[in-house]
Amino acid sequence: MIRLIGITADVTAPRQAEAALRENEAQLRFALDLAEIGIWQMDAVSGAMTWSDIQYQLFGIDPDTVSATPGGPSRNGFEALVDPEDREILHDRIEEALRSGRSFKLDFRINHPPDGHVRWLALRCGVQRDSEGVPERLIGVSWDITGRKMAEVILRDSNSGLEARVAERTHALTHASRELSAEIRRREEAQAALVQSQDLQALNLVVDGMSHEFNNILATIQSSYNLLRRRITVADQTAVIDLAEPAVTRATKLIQHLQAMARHGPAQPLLADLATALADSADLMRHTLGSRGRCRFDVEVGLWPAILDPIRLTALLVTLAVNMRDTMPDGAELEVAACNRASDGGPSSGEWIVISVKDTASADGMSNTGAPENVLTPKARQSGIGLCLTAAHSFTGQAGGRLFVRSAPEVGTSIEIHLPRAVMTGPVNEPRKDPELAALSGGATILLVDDDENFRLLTAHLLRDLGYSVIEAPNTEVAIPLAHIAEQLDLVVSDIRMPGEGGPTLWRRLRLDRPALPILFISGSENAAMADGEQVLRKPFSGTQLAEAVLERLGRLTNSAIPAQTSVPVFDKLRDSLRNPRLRSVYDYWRSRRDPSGNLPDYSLFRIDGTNMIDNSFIVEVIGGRHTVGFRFVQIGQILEQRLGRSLVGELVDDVGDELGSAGASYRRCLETASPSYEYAHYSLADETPLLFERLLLPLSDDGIRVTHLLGIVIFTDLPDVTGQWS
Amino acid sequence: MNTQSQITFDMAGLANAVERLPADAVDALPFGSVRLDPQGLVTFYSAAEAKLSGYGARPALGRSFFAEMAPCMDTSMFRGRIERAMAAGKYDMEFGWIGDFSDRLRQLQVRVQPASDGGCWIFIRRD
Repeated sequence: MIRLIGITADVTAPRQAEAALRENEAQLRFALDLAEIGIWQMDAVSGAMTWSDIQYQLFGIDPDTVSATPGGPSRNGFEALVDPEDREILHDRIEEALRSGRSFKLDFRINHPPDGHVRWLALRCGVQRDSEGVPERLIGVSWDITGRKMAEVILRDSNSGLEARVAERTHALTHASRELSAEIRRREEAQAALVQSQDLQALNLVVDGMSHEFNNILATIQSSYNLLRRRITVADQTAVIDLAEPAVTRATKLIQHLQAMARHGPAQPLLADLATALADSADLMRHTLGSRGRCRFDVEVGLWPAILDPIRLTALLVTLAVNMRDTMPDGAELEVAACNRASDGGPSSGEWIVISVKDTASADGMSNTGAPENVLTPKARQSGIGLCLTAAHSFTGQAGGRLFVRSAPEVGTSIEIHLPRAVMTGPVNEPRKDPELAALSGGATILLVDDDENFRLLTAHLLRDLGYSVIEAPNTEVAIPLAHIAEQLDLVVSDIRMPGEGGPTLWRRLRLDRPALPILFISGSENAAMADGEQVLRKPFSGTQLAEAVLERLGRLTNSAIPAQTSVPVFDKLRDSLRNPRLRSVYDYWRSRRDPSGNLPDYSLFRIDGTNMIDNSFIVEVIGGRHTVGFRFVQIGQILEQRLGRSLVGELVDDVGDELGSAGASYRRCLETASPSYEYAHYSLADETPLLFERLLLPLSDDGIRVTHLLGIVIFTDLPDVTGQWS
Repeated sequence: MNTQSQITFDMAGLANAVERLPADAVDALPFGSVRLDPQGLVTFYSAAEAKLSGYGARPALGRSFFAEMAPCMDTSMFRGRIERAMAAGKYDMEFGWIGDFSDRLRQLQVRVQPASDGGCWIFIRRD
């Protein structure tokens, strides 16, 4: 008999559980897919793997190609996809997980096939064990963390960049701070020097003003003596005058020294007898130093002559002495020595006159042939020595000499001025004899204008004694009507500085009626340089000097030191030297724009383009006051701008030299003389085309009188090399 | 060899010709002559120049007046040209000023040419 034994089991629950599990798995996979997390399993023994679709995507692999290979994806294939640098780590971690059964985490790189770019993946790997606890397979999930890694790298880079920048900035700040401290120190020093120089300037102004007054007083005294000498014939009375006159001469000389120290007028170098110059200095230094400073002079007999301005030498020595006294230890003595020094060989070969100024504490501490050591002690620097040295440098430079300076604490300061021996002998200017002058004088009418009444009266007496008719006026306002009603007028003798309108204005107005009227300016001020090249008779003057100057102005002396006033020929001469017709036409235009009284052309006429040469022209405006004149470019033509490579508009003329050949000096001369000037430079250089530079400077004015602008016309011409001298 | 009467301010090889003259002949030229050594120190100063200039120790010329004539000459390129030419001893420069002196009738011309020792000659004519 056959029996059927059936077992019926209710499988509903397992099926339901299975279905639920599948559903969970599907949900999980769906969630993982959404999160772009790849999932894989690896058989612990065979290394065979199963990958989810996302896992394939993460590695950039087409699932069909890999699934088609025998055995599908494998551990070896998996590891091969990992970047070589991380491959070994991954291998080791998998090995360890299989051995120990512990799960692990790893971030690793893969080379993403489609673009070959490196991508970062994060891996979490767990181990499934069999019933005996032996690892049976690995289950892993991976996701792409390239974005995060990139951000980390960027962050790290920028951190280290930031650190580098901070370090650099710190360095720069440290440096800047050091610079700043140094700058503050320099400024403090400059400030101290400035205060010192302002003090000196103020002092200079006082000295200048006082000198002016003293000159007027001395002029009156001298004129009185001149007059007395003409009137008095008694021998013992003239002997008194003989005694008094040298005193005036001496006082005049002292005032000249004072003025030379107070201002920087043009140097008047001459072939100087140094012994005399130093004797003058000794006198003045003893006066200046007073009881506080003792001063010893040691001047070699037979000192060679040198070419220099003796007044400047005295001024320099006195200034040095005064400043050195302030830094000298108590009881020390100032020593001024002068000797001849001939040397051959070495840098100082030749014949020199050495003038040294030192305090006795520093005797023998000086090197004679060493280089200048402009090292000053702080104390010396605080004194005026630094400023003096600038003056000393300028003086020695001008005289073709050299300056040696040494200064140290405990030793004091010593200064040596080396001057080259003059190798020429000067001609002796024959003084004119009074009778000769008297014979030429007289027979003319002179208008004499001066606000100093005593001086004017005496000068008028002197002129009348010489045979002239004199009309006197205390100022311009009176002088003009007097000149107007005068039947004859041959010469004006006028002070420059007067209350109200000064001498130059007077002359300009008088020339409206009498265009050829000459003028002789007189002034007590040293730097009274006049427009139109007028020379000035400086107060105080001797009767002879006055007689001579008047005759020269009247055109009665031929080889005159002061040229007769002739304005028109000057302009014609300048015009003749303008070889370039374009410059000549600009010049003619400028001349045609002056008004009949000779006033300057109006600036506004030239601002736009009065000349048709705007591309070649520039305009500078005159800025600053009487003592600090400067220039600023307000317009510059295209051709000039191109040549220079930049526009100068708005820039200041920074060139402060006063020598010929400096542009700034040319501007200043044009301003001072209020008349046109022309310069040229012809450069023939090596193998290049010779170049001709020409510049015409024309003064312009806002008000017809004061120069407010300068118009410059510049032309460059390439010249044919006619000489062929370098070929 | 040039004699003194054949030497003119405007001739081409002026420095050359002057160098061959004895010092007293240079003194007698109608224009001033000054010689600078390569360091710029005056090594010769003719009596004519001393007389004409009123015994100034050296001509009142700026040290690099060749370039300082005008802002647009004062460029590094142009200074370079001058320096190269001076180093090579191949230059002949002439400068003139008129109308801007205290004596406005006076015109001044300056000529600069190489001297045989590497320095230069400066000739100064006033009229």
